[in-house]
Amino acid sequence: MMQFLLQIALAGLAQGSLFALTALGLVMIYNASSVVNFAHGAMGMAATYVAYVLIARFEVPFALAFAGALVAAFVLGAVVQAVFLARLRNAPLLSQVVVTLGLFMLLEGLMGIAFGYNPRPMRESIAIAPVILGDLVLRPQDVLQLALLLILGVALAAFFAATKVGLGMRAITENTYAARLMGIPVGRLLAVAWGTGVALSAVAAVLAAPTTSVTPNMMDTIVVYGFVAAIVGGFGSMAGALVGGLILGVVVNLIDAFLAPELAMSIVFGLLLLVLYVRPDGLFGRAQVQKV
Amino acid sequence: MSRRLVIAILVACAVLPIAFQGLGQRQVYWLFVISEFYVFAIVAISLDLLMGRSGQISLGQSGFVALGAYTAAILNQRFNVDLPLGMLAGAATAAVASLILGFPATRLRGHYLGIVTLGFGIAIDQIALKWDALTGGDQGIHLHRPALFGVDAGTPVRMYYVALVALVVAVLLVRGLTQTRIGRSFAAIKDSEVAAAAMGVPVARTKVLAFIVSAFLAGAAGGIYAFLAGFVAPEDFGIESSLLFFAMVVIGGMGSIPGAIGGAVVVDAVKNAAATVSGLSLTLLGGMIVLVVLFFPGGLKGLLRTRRTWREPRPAPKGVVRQDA
Repeated sequence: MMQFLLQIALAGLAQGSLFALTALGLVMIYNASSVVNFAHGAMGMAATYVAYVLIARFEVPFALAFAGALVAAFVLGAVVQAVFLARLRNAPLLSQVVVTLGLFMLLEGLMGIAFGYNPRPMRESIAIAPVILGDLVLRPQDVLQLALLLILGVALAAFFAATKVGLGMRAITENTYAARLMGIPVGRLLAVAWGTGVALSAVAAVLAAPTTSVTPNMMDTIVVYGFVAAIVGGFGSMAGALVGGLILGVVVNLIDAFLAPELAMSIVFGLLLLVLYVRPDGLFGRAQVQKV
Repeated sequence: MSRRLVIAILVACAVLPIAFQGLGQRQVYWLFVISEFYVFAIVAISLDLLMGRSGQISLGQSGFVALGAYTAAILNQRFNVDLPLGMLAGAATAAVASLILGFPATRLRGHYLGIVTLGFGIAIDQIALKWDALTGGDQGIHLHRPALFGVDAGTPVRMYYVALVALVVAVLLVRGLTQTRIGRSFAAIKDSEVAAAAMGVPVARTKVLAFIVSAFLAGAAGGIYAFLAGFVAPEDFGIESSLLFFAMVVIGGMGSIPGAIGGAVVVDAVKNAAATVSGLSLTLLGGMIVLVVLFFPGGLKGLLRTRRTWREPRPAPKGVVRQDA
């Protein structure tokens, strides 16, 4: 029994790493521009089609196709910020959220028209032997997901702590107006934040593709769990999003194993309501004072 | 909108079934399409009340519709409950659910609510599929022939008038509500929660109230839909339909009843016309939402209003000296 539980926890962490990657991108975008990006999963999905086409049609090796998807995602995120969100800088926040919902529908629809809704297979990304820890088994896919989450988590922490761009972004989060007065190129940094955030979603999407297959709605479940992870983590804390994603992965796997997999998302949202009832700013969030 | 235009539209709607008699067999189909549209318009108005008037977002409006529809269907199937009572029971169930959802929602910052309501919509869908002892699972529930106070209402024409009257009642209710103190407090919290609180508006209670009224209307629409279609199944109430209602409100222009109804016309037309190509209606509606937000923040309502300003200003009535003259 103990071993079974550990195996579930391990699989949960691996699945949770996808939620965590998605949530990290969401929080990055939210911190920079105060917008919850409802097109987050759809943009990662669109980038996954780039990898899919590169692999299936041009027989590009996986690593290169992955890189191609990340570049596409970065450009997509930066362009969406520069073309759509920048115009709405002074519009009500509701309008900015609504535009991301429109983009979500637009991207899913466009991919549906271009590629159809039949799932397209994506090959397993790496060919290494499963890792065996005592009685526990980690699939190659799981190893890759956890390793990438770890690497990207450390890289992001270093980026925010030690680079000038990261410092500028933190200044924008603190106070956009003051940051502009300090000579920080706010527009350019917002584009970088959106690009990086969407690229994180693309990492999750490409990693998920061998399991979910490539379809226009492949990210719908993952991105909703990404939202939940971000909320649990306090929506604003990158570390909170990362931990929130991993915890959620374990919770979802426990629900799948012991309760009802078909009700997983309902149960998760029930739990989320309870969490928010007790701690409105998430498990790891600090209470925020609203500015008038 | 001018009174004359409203009356003209109402008369046109009232005589439509007579005009449809020329369609022969196809009139049953068209009567259903238009009746269904009336029900959707009620949902659009309910969502507009929440988003357009009180500034809260819901991405799970079809969850409330589903609760209303299933409540009516289950009561009808098991206890032979009729349309009016079934509709009210559906509305009440949705309102109770909104209370459970609304209380934490008042403590949430704006963007959390969108996500929580999204989760609610998904959860209702999953539960309807899973709890098949009650809901029939993916087989759905067939209803008995609807009756209204003992009078048979099971013909397409009669159900058409039921849906039309329901829409008119919903419009009058919401219009009345927005002109009361409660309606003004909705507008106040939409503009600024802090300012509204300072003026003595109980923000949390007002937000929950907007949620409850919106859910009540959506639930009532669901109840009518169940009797209209004669059948409910989970696939009618997925996330996609929540997004359609959302699109209706945004495209119509938030905060306006004619806008919500106009948005419902556009979205329903696009959905029906683009149904053959998968992904097309999603693309068109998503594109429209983006365009509306970027270039026509007032939506359809705003377009109509701009046109009006092109006209010459009306001359002042006789005997009135214009202040600016």
